[in-house]
Amino acid sequence: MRRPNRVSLIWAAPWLLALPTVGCSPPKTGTTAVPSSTSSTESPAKRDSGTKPERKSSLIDDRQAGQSEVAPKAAPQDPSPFRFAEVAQKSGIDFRQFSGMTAEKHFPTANGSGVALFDYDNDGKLDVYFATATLIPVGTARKGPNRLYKNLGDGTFRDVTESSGLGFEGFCHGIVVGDVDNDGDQDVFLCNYGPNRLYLNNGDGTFKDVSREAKVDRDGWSSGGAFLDMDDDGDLDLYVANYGIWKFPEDSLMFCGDREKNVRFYCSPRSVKTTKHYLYRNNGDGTFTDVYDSFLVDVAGAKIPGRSDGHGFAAVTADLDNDGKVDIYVTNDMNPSFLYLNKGGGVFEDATETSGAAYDDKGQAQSGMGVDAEDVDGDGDLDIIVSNFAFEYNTLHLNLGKGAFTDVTPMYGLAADTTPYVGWGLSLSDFDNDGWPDCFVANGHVDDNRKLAGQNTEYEEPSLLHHNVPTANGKGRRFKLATRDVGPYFDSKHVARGAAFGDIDNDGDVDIVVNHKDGAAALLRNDTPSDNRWVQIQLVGTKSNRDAIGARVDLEVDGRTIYRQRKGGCSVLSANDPRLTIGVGHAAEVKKLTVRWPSGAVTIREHVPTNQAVRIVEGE
Amino acid sequence: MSKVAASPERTRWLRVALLGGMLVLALTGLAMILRPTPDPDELAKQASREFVDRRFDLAEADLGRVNRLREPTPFDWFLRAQILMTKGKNDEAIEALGHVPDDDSMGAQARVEEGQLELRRSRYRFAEAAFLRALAIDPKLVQPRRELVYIYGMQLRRPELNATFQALSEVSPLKYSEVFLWCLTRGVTWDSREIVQTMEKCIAADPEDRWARLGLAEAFRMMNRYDDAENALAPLPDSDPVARVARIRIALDRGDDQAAERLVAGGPADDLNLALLRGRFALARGDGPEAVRQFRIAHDKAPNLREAVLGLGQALQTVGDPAAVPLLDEGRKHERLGSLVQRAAVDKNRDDPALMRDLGDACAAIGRFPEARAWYNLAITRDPLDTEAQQGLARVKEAESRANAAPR
Repeated sequence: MRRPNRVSLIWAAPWLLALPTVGCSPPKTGTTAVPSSTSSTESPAKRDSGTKPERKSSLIDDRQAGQSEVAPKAAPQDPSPFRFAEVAQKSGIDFRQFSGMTAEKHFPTANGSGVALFDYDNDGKLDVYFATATLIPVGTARKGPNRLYKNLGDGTFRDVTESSGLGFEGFCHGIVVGDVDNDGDQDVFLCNYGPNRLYLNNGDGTFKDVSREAKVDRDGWSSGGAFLDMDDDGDLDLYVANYGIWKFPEDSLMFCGDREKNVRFYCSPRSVKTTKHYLYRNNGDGTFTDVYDSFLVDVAGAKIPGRSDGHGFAAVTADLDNDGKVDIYVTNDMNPSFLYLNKGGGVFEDATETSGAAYDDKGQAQSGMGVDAEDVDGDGDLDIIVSNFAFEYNTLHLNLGKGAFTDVTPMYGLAADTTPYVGWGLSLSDFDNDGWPDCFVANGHVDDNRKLAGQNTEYEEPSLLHHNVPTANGKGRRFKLATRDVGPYFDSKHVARGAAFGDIDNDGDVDIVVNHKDGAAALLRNDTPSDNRWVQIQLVGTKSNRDAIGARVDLEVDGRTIYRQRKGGCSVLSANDPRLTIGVGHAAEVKKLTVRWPSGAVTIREHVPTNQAVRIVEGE
Repeated sequence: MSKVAASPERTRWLRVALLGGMLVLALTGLAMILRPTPDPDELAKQASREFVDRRFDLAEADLGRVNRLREPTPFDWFLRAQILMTKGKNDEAIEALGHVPDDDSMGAQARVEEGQLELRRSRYRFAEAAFLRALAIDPKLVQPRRELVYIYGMQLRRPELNATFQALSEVSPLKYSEVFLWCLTRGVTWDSREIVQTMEKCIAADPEDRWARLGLAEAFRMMNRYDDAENALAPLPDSDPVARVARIRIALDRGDDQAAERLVAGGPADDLNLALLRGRFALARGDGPEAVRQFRIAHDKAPNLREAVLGLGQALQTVGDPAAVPLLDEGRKHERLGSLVQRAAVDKNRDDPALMRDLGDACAAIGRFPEARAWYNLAITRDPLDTEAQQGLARVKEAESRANAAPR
């Protein structure tokens, strides 16, 4: 998502073509340069009468113009209910990402890397795994490696990278975590610029690289992905979002930026050729088969090949149309976001163009980067939020049912606040456990040198936190910016990229870890004071995939039902806590907790006391 | 010689000189009287040639002579305007052009020049009027349509923009960039900073310019400058539906739901943009029947508008009405066009005839026949033997005939 929106692009033709420059990549104007009035047949007088000279742009490539200085909303905030303390250094997490960015602005170096929260050694505590990149061409320098920090349980972490075998060195963007062999421990898939990697957890705190045997090591450019059981055979398959094809040195020769000032920006995503993504079907024997070209049908049920028109960034796998089957939603940079609805038997319908969640409300493709799906309005279905480039708001697509969505971002109060920034990792987590999902997004621009070209665009940007509150008439919900007094991290600016969400200190609230581009990582411990209560659920599938991805959990509390799902994917480049930490307001107990497993089985627990972690095994 | 002796000699020479001078003057006067009067028309043509040769001062002088010989003709006024423009005297030039009547052979061109001058003065409202007058005189003119594309494009007046592109395509072959812009402006927004600069000048030059105010307000809103946006809208009443929609959007962005709802509830029941907003509000609160009602209003007004098609389709789907199916199918075609337009934005695709044909097919599929024709024509310009494009044109013609023959 680089960009030179909102929409993005400028062509200085006599007619000026500009395209919406939105997109995650470098310079983005967010919108297009306006047409200029130049007559093709000017009268002689016009030529001599001080005709306004044609505006000649020194900017090369679309989206190079600075963002129209969108001001952060100036309205004063009410005090925020949230509190987060940044404790990375104090905790022993000293990771710094290396992006590989140089003055040449090689495209892949803009996107940064992600972070994963998972329990690598099954000791009941979330560990943290960071990805990092290297110089291009890959192999010319040793940077990194990716690093794994073991949670010691006392608020501190220890670097166990070397002993774990997860010290990948290369150009790593995204991390996808899941139990691919259903043996009860978490395995790790790395999405790289270069061959991807699959590390199988040996169960003893070490991992083995099985990429080649598993046949998932194809050389390409992958951003992120999500696990799901696409064919209901009880094991996890993997959707991998590929960004495109970019080769060094040929694709690095294009100059994008301000030619006159010789200031180079990242080029537009449009300069990158798109390519197919991967859908690796788990064969159950340690190998995978890419079925990307055979899993899709059109609305009439006819087989169609997998789409190749998306600069893939992230994916979320969840039941988006409430038919009991897990679907796939993929964010793409300056292309439509894909929606694939599961029809059963490993077949998905391409519902992209009728979803209402492929484009913005004007039909323009946005720079889709991060994604999450959660029930923000409490009506029982998952709504989708996508983080976008500057001058495009992060879009909230309200679920209308049956695979249809509508953009309600302005009505939900998210438009103005998010428009100025380039959004990456995000989550609709309930940070204050009041039973309503809030919204966090980590921001950061792609170009560090816009000011050299005279543009008033900052590289570091503040992250945002929005509180889910009732509307003034009490009939609906909306989001309200809530960063005031949250903590120093929210008063400062960063170049954020991947972010992962989970209960790191096992105190029943959701913490955040952010991987900053070329910067020190942040661990945001949730210290929100609240008398709200929670339930933390670890789901263990037996007939269903062991991670229970696709399971739906309904909690009846105090006169309402809270709906949650065990999702795959989410955020960007990152992997979240596999447990469900669910805020339930003041409820002392969950009257009825219902788990609908992907296999179709149903588990019901009644009178579950709150403020505790529960482990629910399918069939028990 | 003494001074006294020189005086009579000097006086004699003075007398001779004086007499000689008077004789020369008399002869000159006689010559002038007897010389033939220049033909003012020929002199005007001469002035015109001098103008073309960029000898502006001479041209001005000769034109002055013409106008001493006779009353200025429309041609004279036109030439005067051109000369004034070289001096940057745009106000006087417009005044001069005003003397060229519409029904004169130069009437249309005079209106075009007026329009261009008004553009330079940032008086877009007057420029638009002048260009429209020029087209009323001569509908085949190309230049005023191009200028109108600029004005409507700048102001994002999409229906007018679409109509102008369509008319332009009928009188002049369009370039790739123009056809692309035509498709693009269905949904694009411009860089707000540039809009602000331009629209502020327009309002300074013409405070009554409604569209400039609306454009400026929207640009400010996109920049989160809500107070500035409301100030720009201040002179426009709530009864102005476009201004009302703008105010609703500002209220939403400010987080003032109640103000937004109050504004949405007011205003005409059958305004397209209000209906779209009301439909979206209804969908957001889960009121399927109301969403259907509002999107139906919008769809009746603009059956080819993506937002109306998709909105009605989704609303019908939420209430379980099978009429949703063809609309969602139509919506899918709109999105497909959007995807192709995105591909058309890439420089290296601009020479791809397959893409041009695909765009033609996609436009035709949603009934945008003039755009479809434009794309097919581009492909044919590139390769006159492009049979697929030729067939596409034929299909469009047939489809249009069917559409025109269908009972209303």
